[in-house]
Amino acid sequence: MKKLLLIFFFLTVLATGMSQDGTLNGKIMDNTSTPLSGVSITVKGTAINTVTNDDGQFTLKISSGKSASLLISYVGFQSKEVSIKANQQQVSVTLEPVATDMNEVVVIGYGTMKKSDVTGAVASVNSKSLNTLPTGNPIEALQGKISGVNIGAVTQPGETPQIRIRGNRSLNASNEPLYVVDGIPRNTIEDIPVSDIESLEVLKDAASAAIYGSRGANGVILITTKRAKLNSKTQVSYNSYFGVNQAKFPKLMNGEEYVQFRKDVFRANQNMGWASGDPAVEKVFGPRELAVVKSGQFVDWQDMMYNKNSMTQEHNLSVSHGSDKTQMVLSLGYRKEEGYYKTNDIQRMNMGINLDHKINKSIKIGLSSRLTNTNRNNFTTPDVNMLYMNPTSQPYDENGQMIWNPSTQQTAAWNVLANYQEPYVNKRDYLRSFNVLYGEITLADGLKLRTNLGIDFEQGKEREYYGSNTTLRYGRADYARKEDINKTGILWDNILSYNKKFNKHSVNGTFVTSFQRQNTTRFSASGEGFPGEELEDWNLGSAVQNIIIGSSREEWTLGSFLGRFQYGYDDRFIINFSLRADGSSVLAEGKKWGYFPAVSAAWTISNEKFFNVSAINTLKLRGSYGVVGNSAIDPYATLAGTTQTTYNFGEQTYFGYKLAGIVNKQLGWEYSKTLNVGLDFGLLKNRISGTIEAYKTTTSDLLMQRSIPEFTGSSSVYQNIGSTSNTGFELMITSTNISKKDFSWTTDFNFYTNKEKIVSLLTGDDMVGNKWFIGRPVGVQYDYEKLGIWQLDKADEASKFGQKPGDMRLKDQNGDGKVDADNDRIVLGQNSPKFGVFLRNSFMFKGFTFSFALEGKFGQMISSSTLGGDLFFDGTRWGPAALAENYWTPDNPGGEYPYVNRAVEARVNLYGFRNGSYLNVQELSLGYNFSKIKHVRSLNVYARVKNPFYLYTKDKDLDPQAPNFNYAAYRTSVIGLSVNL
Amino acid sequence: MNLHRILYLAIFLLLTISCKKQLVEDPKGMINESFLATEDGLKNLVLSQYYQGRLIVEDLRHLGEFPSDIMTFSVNSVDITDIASLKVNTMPTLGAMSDSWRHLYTGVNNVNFGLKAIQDKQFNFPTIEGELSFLRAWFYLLIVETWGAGAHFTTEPTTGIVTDGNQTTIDAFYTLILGDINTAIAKLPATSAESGRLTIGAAKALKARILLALAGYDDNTITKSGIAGKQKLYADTKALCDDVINNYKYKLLPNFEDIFDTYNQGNEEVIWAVQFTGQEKFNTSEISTGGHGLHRYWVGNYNKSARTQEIVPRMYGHSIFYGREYRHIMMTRYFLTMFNQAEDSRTDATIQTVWRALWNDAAKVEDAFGLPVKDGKPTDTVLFKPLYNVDDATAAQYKARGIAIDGLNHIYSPDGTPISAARSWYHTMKKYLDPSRKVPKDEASHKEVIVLRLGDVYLMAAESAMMLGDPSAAAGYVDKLRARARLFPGALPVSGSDINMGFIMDERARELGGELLRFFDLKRTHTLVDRVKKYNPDSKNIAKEHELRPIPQSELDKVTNREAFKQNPGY
Repeated sequence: MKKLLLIFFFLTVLATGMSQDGTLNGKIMDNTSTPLSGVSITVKGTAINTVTNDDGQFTLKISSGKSASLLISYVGFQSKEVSIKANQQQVSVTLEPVATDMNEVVVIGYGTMKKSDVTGAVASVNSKSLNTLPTGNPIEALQGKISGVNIGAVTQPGETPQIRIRGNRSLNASNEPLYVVDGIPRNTIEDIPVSDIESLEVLKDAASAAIYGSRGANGVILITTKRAKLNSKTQVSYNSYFGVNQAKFPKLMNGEEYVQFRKDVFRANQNMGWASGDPAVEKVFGPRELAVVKSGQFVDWQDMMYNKNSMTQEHNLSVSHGSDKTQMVLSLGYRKEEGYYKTNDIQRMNMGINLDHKINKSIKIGLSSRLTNTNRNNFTTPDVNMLYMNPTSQPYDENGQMIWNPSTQQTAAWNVLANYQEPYVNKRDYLRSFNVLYGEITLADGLKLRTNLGIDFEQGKEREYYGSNTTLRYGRADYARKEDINKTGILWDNILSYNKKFNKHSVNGTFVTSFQRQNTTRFSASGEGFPGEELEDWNLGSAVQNIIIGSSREEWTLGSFLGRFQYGYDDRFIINFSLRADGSSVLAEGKKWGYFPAVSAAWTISNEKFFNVSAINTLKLRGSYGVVGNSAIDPYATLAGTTQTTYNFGEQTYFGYKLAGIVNKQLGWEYSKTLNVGLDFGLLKNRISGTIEAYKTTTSDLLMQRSIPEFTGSSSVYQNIGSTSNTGFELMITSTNISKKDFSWTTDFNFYTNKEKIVSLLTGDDMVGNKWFIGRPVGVQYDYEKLGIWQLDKADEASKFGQKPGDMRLKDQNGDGKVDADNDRIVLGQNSPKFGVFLRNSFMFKGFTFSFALEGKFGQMISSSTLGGDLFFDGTRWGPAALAENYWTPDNPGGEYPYVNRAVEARVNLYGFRNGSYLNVQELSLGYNFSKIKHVRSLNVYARVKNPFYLYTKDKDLDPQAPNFNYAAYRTSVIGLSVNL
Repeated sequence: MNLHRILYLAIFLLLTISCKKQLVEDPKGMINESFLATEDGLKNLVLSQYYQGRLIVEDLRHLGEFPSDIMTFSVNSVDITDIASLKVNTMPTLGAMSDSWRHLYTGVNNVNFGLKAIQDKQFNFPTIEGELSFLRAWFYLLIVETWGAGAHFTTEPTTGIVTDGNQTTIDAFYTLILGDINTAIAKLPATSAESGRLTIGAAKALKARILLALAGYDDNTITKSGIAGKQKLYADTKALCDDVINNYKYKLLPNFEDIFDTYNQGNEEVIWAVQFTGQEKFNTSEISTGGHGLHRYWVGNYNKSARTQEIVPRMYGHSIFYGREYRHIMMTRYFLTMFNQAEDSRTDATIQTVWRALWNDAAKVEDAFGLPVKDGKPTDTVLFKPLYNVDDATAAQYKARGIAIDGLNHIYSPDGTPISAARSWYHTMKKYLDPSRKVPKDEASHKEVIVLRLGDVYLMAAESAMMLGDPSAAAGYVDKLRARARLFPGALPVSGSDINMGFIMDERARELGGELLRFFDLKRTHTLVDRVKKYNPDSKNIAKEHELRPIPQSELDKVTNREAFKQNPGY
């Protein structure tokens, strides 16, 4: 390949070498061989200059016979000086990107700003860094890439993982961030393909998010979709990948282990107890099981239940073009992913258009419009029924007919494979249309008025049909249901902005009015007992029983005013004020309006005259303080309702209504205040750049779904009480370690800590019923402490606690000689990680690229039911491999689990509490860039693996990101292609 | 700036006009709380409280049955194991306690709301008022008998956020309960066209139960509750029982087993029963499948022998006929030996001792619905659990006939403790079995759950007569019940000289065993500690304070006046 390229290069030189008129032809590319357009080139010491065209090429006339120097500069790249020999006619230059560029423009909400002017904690991820994983979901694509943003694992295809920006602050209201796409707040971003995204910004501190007022408390994620550049040629891009998903499920006992387990159960339960000796299998197993045990042909139910390899693919095609008046991008995408459950897959088709048009010098209009169709086939998790199947249970009889109740031990359990054979329809189809129309008029120099009109529409259609032998019906009449959901969101923003520079002074003012309303209506119907399976849910009127009809409507409205003012002096000092007022319909009368102020400032030390440290190019100190709100409670939560019940007198049936519970007519906003200090730096010619942030968020007036004594007739009520705090430290570093023509190495490193703490609650006491403890994180595991198993020589001591050898031994925390709920439960661990790290290295050698990313979280406690609450000790259920031969017996005093002389163990859930710390290899990727192919701007092929393996897990028995057997965090391996014409 | 630009600015300013009125919520489609305080609403509220009864009867498997002399724990329910073995340190956190508490107080709050609405608006709805009053009396009777003075007391519906508990005296509860049941007697109709609706007869029968429960307290409590004394309580009880026996439509069924027949619901012996329906849509309850689950709890495994732990051929672990094996509750040996099987038809109506084949080996035929195989195929006995001890020679004889046999000695050790291996393999208590379930594993039964029946009224009358010093009258009531239980004339004789508290409690067990009353009977007669210590070795740690249940820990965790609102003693 290398030789071919040399020949190609040589021929090109020959072909152009004919001209002797002092013309220099050149091409400028970035370090991935992508041509750069618009790069400015100046001949040193002259006024001769030009810019590169769309193919990265330029032509210059130079006095022939003389050597010269070219000064090459381009935004986002390190400037370069290249010397040209006398009579040289051809030059090829590679520019190295600068790690950070303070001139980069970032989106900040109701506007954009140069990064150098940003005063709050705003982190930005561009299209290229976002697009490193084969995923359909922008949130998953973001995992690890911004410090302080904790993103959970995807445990089923099409799922949006949980995201927490700087921890949990709310006890009962939402901790979900606000999503804003092309300026319009939305509930979801799962329908936006990653490849359509130009940039993604996260507003982390309150001062930045305060511009979104009542919805900014959990941070804001701003997504900007790709738009065409001014005067750009028609460009066609096609990106595609294809690969497999591999699910990783917890390991369960194999046949031999299960047989031994059953024998031990039998032995422990014999009249003579353990002393009866190892029993013969004939005594332990029934005829059907015995045949399996004797043949050794055990059944691997996991193998039959799950797809080992399932397909995933995505294709995206886009065409963009820009003239000086009109720019447009058209895009088309398709994604399909199959799940590890055989009925599960998800398909998404999307198309979009981004259009901008200049009517005249002062008026501009545009449209962003996208349409997405998602079809999802769901699954029903086998849940504990999976454990009722065991290696000695046969799924099919000798005639190949399915055995409905395969387990002779737990004959109630329905065959978990039934849904693969029987009529099973469980579909969720969504059609989403998201449209933003804008008009912008320049009223005077620097004064602009922009209006955004957004219509966000979602039509959901849910369909279900379960044949009578599916696991959901287990022999009862077949069932069908459908539900139509319509959501319509209307938004209207008017933004008046003024932006002007006077000598050393710059001012920026923004005033916005905003109105948003969302309306959701639902209609559903279901019935049972249909004339034929082929009807599915298409003839609900033919159901003979239990016909149920439902409809509902929900609406909320938010009206807002906001203003922002920024003043900068001499590129050294910037100060920024903002205030937003929000009125929300979901809150109680008299509590509807809230006010959210913020102030922030920055000092660019490196622009000071006295600053003269050659190793430090950029140094900017920032500080901010702001207030944001959270009103994420359901509409009508301040209105008292009723709950429907049913009853009958003989054959006469009735509906009844009872009180739905207490409502709080005083509900108001939840407020979060954040103090944030940040330092942006660039070292060694910006080869190392980064950001350090420290913050403290205090959230007060928590919207708390507070448990109340049930003698009131209710179990909980929303109330504004208590406060929490989050303090943390974040570090993000990008480093260009090596930057040579043929070899480069860059590293991204993120680290964050966050300490969640409940500061105050209703009375100053812990609220044990809610597991809320002052000074502890919001989500904790609170239970007894397990010490191990009572041993034979401690029988006397055990009996004081009413226990026997082989029973679980719990810690008597206060030493009063009994283990009781009031005194002996403690906080065992926290749900959220104490710190997280991310490390990504990418290498380029010639055309090859290689990268890997590590993502880790530490200090969180997870709760696994597979290793805890779902354990049975009488052999009626299959168990995890971790249980095999790991239970206490008189012969095996070191066993961790209790003696198998019992069916259930009251505190068995304690075994499920595990340390969830892990370091995961999130990405492995190898690619090659073909250069210099005619009519092709760039061509890149790659192989990528998502989640190939864990580098470290604290607990060896489970996958810390998917600790239960119902869901798996899966590995995805793809090969892909990306081509630009 | 030219004119049209000024126009744009003016439009922008217009848009900033407040959108305040847009922020008012208009909850279309929501049924508001205020609806419940109207005439139509109150009818609906009453129905929802009959529904509440569905949840409560399910809870009574814990509160009404344990600890006791006649029932003990099997293996599958932590709650029952802990309550029956009196684990005082875990009992406060059991779901059994918090569920019962929640269901009862949800009922109380709704009924308080309804009765207050009737009072405030001066509605004249006698039937609704009678039904609500009856239900509040029933809820509070269960509350006070379960938690005693440790229970929360209120007659007001909750309107704001209440977090302080209100503990009061026993007589405060009984004053309210008696007032309510008298209202119910005054307002309820004599009959109802709808089976399962409350009537005067039900109110009188419940009042008899209330009075007997009150008779268990000291004289001071009784007089403070507004009754002249114990003798007055017993006299009133007897009069109420006679009234119910003689003046209403209720009759003892000639065949004891028929009372619990799923195809004979609403029979003449039933005074009041909580209703369920085969129409699943109207069968909602908190158990996910609809209906109730009482049929499951007393069913052990019957596909293995307790003696050998070997598989019983031609038998399944669950069936429509022999039930869904939940292994929560087993009967004590004392209970099983209390019956005279040769003379008393109640024995086989209550206890399953014989299991016939569900599967024919030769023809490889099984009955799809878990009924013993019929129609030319053998329905041989494959499992026999007689109510006596079996020696090895006898066992070998049965084994030779292909019958697995477990004698009492194979299920219980000599002191009556179930042998650990047999905790799952025991006799089924049959009263709730429901062969109308559609599939063997069906979790839901739609058979009504009897709360008050005439047999109980006879025994309450007998007990009152005894306490009034008239044992022959007491024997007369018992004899009426035994008349239909006798397998042959002259069997099960009873006379005044037999009558004493021990006899009455034994007879209540034989007649009403498993009918969710036992704990309350033992408690009110103060025989709980003695009888349980004597007859149920699993519960030998029982003490006087166990006459009260622990306040749920979750509730104590949430009240804000912990210094005043205390856990019951002993927990």
